[in-house]
Amino acid sequence: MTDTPEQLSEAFDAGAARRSERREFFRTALGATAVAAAGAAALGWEAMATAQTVTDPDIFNFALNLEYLEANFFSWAAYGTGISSDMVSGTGTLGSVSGGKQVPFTDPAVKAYAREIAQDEINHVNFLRTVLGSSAVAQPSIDLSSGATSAFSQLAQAAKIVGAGVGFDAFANDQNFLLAAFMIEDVVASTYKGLVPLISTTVYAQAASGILATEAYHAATIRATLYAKGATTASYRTSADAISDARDALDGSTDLDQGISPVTPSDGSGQQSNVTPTDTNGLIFSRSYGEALNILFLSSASSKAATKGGFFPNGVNGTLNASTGTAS
Amino acid sequence: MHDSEMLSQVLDAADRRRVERRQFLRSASVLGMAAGGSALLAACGAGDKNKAPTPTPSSSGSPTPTPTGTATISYAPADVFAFALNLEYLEAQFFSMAATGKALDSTLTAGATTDAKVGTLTGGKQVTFTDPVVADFAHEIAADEKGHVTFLRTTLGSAVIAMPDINIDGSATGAFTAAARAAGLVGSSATFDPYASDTNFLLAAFLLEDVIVTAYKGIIPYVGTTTLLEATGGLQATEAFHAAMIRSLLYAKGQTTASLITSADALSNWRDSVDGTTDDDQGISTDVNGASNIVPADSNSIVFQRTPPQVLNIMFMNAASGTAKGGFFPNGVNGTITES
Repeated sequence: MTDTPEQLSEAFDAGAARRSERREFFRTALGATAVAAAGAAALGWEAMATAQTVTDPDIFNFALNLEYLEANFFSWAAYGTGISSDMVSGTGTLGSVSGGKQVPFTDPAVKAYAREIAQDEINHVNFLRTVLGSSAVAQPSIDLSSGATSAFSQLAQAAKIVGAGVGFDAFANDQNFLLAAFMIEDVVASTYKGLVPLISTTVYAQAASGILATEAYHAATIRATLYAKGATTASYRTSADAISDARDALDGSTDLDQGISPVTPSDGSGQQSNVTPTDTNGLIFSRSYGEALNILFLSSASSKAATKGGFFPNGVNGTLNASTGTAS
Repeated sequence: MHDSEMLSQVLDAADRRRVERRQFLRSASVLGMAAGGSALLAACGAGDKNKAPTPTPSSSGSPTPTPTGTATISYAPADVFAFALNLEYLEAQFFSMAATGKALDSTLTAGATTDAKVGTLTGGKQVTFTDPVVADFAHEIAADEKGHVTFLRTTLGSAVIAMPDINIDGSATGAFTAAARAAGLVGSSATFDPYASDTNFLLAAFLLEDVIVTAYKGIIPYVGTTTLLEATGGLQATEAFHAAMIRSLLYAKGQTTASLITSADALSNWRDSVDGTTDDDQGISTDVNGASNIVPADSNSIVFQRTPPQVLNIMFMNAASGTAKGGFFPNGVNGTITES
């Protein structure tokens, strides 16, 4: 295999930048790299030390927690029921799902998207459980409820979509459903991107990249729909932007999350949407599993690392179970 | 290992697939991952939905993981990145012309050596969009594809390939017209101009974007290092976002203009007709369960992949293997991966 210069890796880190803040230095930073140049410096595996501390099953089990959350959310929204009880058992502590109901959709396209995504997420749960076999983790406790202190409500309150102490019902209507889906899907897509390169076995990496792509299709479907509806009802866009900011406030000091509202680049190329949350190279950004848990636990990275909260009130199952945070 | 047991579980899961999700374990991504280790099930026997594949007996104690479907082929990372750059040139030129009426700057099309021939761009013009959402999408995708060209060129460094000849023309002799005729979108002597309307632009974008997603997934096994793996995953995911923007917009508009959905389905079927015997491509039509089909995935809801030669079948618009030019690339692609 041809070796990769270290600069590329550093450039990727730098590339986790908001599209509206596309940084001019970035391409410069990348300038010295060349994948095929003869004699390019080897990127030692020691540089990937963090990647080697987790096994492929650890990674797939972490992903399975995310898929349990997604599958239940979309299944409730589309079908009015959670996922089947024959696909929730496993290692760790089996939990239950609180909240969830069928959305009274008015737009047939949104309804069809919900049904499609629900089936995809159920398939992902089944796929990961099958791959993991007896080492698959159980479904953890999941909060989809709408009370004032629920996970969706707290995130909506942080984004000021609802007032302080006011509940946010993710299943109340098309718009709330789309915003709730936005809250979750973006996190999953960016997290899979962060997980794929940690996978040590090629076929697993390819499978995970295929799931990543599916989640990207989902996230884009939600974001594109919010953007299109936002052309006539501005709150679709402004609410999504506010949720993005709330996520950014949770997941660490890097400003990596992105809303959807249009931006106008200084190069005169014209107004563009921001459905795809990418860096200056047009690559979507990554989240670490710890950053994903900052959001899903609703626990800021500037706080002590958490092991439960938010959408997972009793934590996630498996070895990758703590959010990023200051040293305990 | 519990090979056959896992296979049967996967097949059970397959029963839940949506109707359009075609008739087999497409990407054969049937993996076994035992606790504390990794065991592979090489379920390469992709088969019909109603026909149980025969599990490969695991007689060896240490099966070797093999990229599915491409076991006998191996590419170097630089080869597959150069291959991808050809596709990004095509996308970047198409979306840039459609959104802004401008082609890529010449600094983004040259090869590593001064004697490398830089190809000619044929066709392309700015679309007069009527829906501002479509216009915004076009501009966004154009910017991303330009970023991809820049990124791949920088990554390839001294191995960068020049832009090959590209045909994105909307005339009677243009590549898009040829595809639209073959797909039955227009009559055999009619013209399909992707720049004539929002609708035509969306369908042309649909034709290209889906292919790129599958192409990136297909090269994942060959990119090697962790860093390049993340980059390729990022490229693939971005293309998936783009493809979903186009597919979901076609689907939404198709609620009132049904021809958008049937046309997308026809283009999907055409792609399927040229890229090999497997029925892997998918349109967007609603299935019997009332679900859309924005994501073209297998029964595990994993997006499918194409090998580089399969991608070139579509790009060259020729089902024959060993084809080296045609369609969007009238004089072929640059690099070492050049034949369908």
